[in-house]
Amino acid sequence: MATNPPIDIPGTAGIFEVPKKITVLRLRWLVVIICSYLLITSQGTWLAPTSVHAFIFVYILSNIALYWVEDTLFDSSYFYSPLVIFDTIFVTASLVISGQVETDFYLVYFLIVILCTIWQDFRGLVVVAVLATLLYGFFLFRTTHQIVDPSIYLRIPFLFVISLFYGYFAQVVRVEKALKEKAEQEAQDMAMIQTLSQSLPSSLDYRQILETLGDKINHVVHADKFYIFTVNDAAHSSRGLLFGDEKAGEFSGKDVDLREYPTVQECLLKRSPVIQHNVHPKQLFPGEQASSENLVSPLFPTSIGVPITFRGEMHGVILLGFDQEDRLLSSREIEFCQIVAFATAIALSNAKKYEALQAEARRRQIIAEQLADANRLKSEYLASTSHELRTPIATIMGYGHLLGDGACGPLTQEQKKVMGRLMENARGLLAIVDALLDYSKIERGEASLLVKRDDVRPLLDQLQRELAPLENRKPFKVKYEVEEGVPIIQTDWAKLKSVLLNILSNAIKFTDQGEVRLSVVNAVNGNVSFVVSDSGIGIPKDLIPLIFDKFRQLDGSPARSYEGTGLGLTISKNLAELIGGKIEVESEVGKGSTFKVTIPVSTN
Amino acid sequence: MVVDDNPDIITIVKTILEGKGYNVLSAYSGPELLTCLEGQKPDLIVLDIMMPQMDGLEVLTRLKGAPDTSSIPVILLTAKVQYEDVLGGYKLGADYYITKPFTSTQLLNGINLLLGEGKS
Repeated sequence: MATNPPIDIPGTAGIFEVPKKITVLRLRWLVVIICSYLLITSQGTWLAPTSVHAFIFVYILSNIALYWVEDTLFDSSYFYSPLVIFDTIFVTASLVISGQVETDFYLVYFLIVILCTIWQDFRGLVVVAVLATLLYGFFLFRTTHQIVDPSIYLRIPFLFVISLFYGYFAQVVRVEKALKEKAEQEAQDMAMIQTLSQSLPSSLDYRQILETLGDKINHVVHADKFYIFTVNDAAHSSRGLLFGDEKAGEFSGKDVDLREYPTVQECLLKRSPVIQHNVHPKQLFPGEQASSENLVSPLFPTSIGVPITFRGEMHGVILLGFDQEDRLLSSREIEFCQIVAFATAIALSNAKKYEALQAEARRRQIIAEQLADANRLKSEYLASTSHELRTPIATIMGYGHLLGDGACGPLTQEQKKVMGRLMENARGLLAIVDALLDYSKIERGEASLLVKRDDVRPLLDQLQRELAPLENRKPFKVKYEVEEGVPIIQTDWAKLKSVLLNILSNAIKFTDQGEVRLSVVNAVNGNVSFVVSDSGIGIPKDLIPLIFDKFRQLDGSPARSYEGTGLGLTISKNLAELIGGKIEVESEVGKGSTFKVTIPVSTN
Repeated sequence: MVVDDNPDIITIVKTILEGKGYNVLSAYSGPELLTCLEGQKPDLIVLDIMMPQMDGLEVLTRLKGAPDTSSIPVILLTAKVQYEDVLGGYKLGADYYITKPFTSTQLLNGINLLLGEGKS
C-alpha cells in the first residue's frame, strides 16, 4: 500500500493515521448498512422487494469496486466530488424509496449536509451532528407524545453516520486545499528569496537595494509608502540612514536619529513586526515636516514596521504605510514582509562583509606597496651610497699608490709600513662598499645566474689561490678534500665561489690555531655539500639564528676584534638561495664552527 | 685629457700620466670638455660617468656622434662597477672601462692598449 504524504494539520492526527481509502470504505459500509436497513424495514411501502434488493446490491457493489481503485486517487480532491455527489443521490434516493421522507427529517438531513460542507472542523462537526440528532430525537418524541414507529428512531443513527461521512469528505478536501496553498506559498517564498538575493547587489548600494525591495513589496503587498531605516552600527542603534521611495519624497540616505521614530524604535526593541492603525504621519516621521505635504492622507490608516535582522544582528527596519481605509494585513502579508526583510538582511549582511573584506584587502595592498617602496628605496640608497663611497676611496687609494710608488719622493721603511696599513684598511673599506652593492643588487632581484657544468676541482684551486694572503699570518693552511663520487656539477660557479670565499675567510679570520677544512661531500637527494669546519672561537647557540642578519656581528664576543663587514653572511645566504641551495650552521663556543653549504647537482 | 668633477682624481691621473711623460689636459665637467675640444684634439680622453651638469655617458654619446671627435679613444673611469654599467659603457662606444678605485697599472695598461707602448 502506498504511503500517503503526512498531513500536518493540528487536531486531526488521530483521524488521519488510518489511510484515506480505508476510512472512506469503512464510512461507506456504514452508509450502505444504514441505507439497506432503512430500505429493508420499510419494504413494500411503494417499491417491489426485488428492486429494493437490486438497489442495495448496486451500492454494495460500488463500495467493493472501490477496493480496486488506486490509493493515490483517494489523495485527490477531484475524486471526492463525484463520489460525494453519487452518495448524496444514493442516500437521498434510498430515503425517498424507504418512505421515510417527512419534511422535518428532510430539513435535518440537509442541515447536516450543509453543515458538513461549510463547517471545516471535523471534530466540531461531529459534536454538532450528535447534538442535532439528539435534539431532533428529543423534539420528535416531545411533539408526538406517544411511542412512535421504531423505524423512525432509525433516523437518528442514520443522521449521525451521514454527518460523519460528509464531515470526513469536507475535512479531506480542506486539508488538501490547505496543503496545496501552503506548498504554493512556500514555493513563492523561495522564489522571492531567490530573486531577491539575485537582484540585490553585492556592493553596499542602498539605493539599488531599496528599489529592488520596493518592487518586490509593492508587487505583493501594494503599500502606498515605503521606507527603509538602516542602522549605522548594530551595537548602538541610535543613528541611521533613512531611505524612502519616490512617493514618500525621496529620502535617499538622510542621516537621522532613529530615537525620533517611535515605530522604528519599537521595532528595533521588540525585534518583531509592529503594526499600527490610524497613525499620524508626523508621529511616524516627526523629523520630516516637508514630507507630510507629500502624504496623500493626513492619517496612515495602517502601518507596519518589520525589523531587518539576520543571525541576531539588526540591520534596520522596513516601514510600510497604507493610505487605504481599514486595510487589514493578513498573516500571509506580514509573513511576506518578514521574508523580504530577511532576504534584505542577508543581502545587507553580505554587502557589509564584502565591504569590510575589500577595505581590508585595500589596506593590506597599500601596506605591501609601502613596504615594497621602502625596500626599493633602501636598495637604491645602498647602491648609490656604494657608488658615492667609491670615489673618495679611489682618491685615497690613488694617492696611496702614488706615494707608495715613490711618485712624490722616496719613502722610509717606517713610512712604507704605515702606507701598507693605510692601503690595507682602504681595501677593507672597499670590501664593505662592494658588499653593500652586492646586497642591494640581490635585494632588487637583479642578480642573474650564469650556469656552467664543471668539476669542483678548479673551484677549489681558485679558492686556495685567493685565500692564500689570509693564511699568511696563521699557523695553518686550509685543507681541501673531495669525497669520492662527487659528480660534475651544473651551477653558477661565481656565486658558489663568493659564498665559499666568504665562509672560508671568516673561518680563517676567527681561527687562531688548529685547522680550517673544506670537504666536498655527497648529500641526500642528489645534492652536494661543501662543509667548512674550523677550530675557531665558535658561535653561541642562541646567536646562530642571528648570524645571517644584516650588519650583525656577535657583540661582546672576541669577534669584535676581528675585521668584517657583517654583511658577508647575509649575502652568502642570499646567494646560496639563488643557486637553489642553503647554508646550515653548527657550532660550539671555543671548539669551532661548521658551515654546510648544500646545493643541487643541477641548477637551471 | 682627463675629465672628472673630483679634482683629486684629476690630480692622481695627471700625476700617473705625467710621470710617464704624457701631456695631460683637464676638464671638470662635460661642457668644459666640449669647449676645450673646439680648439684642440687630444690623443685620448679619460672620462668619469657620474658628474653634475652632464652625465659622462651623455658626453661619450656626443663625442662618438660628432665626426671631429669620434676617432678619439675614450676610457671610462668610473665608480659604476656593475656588469650592466660596464656593458652599457661599451655599447655607447667607450674604448676601455676602468672601475674606481684603480691602480696606476690598470690605467697605464688601458692607455698602452689604445695608444701603443711609449707614445706621448
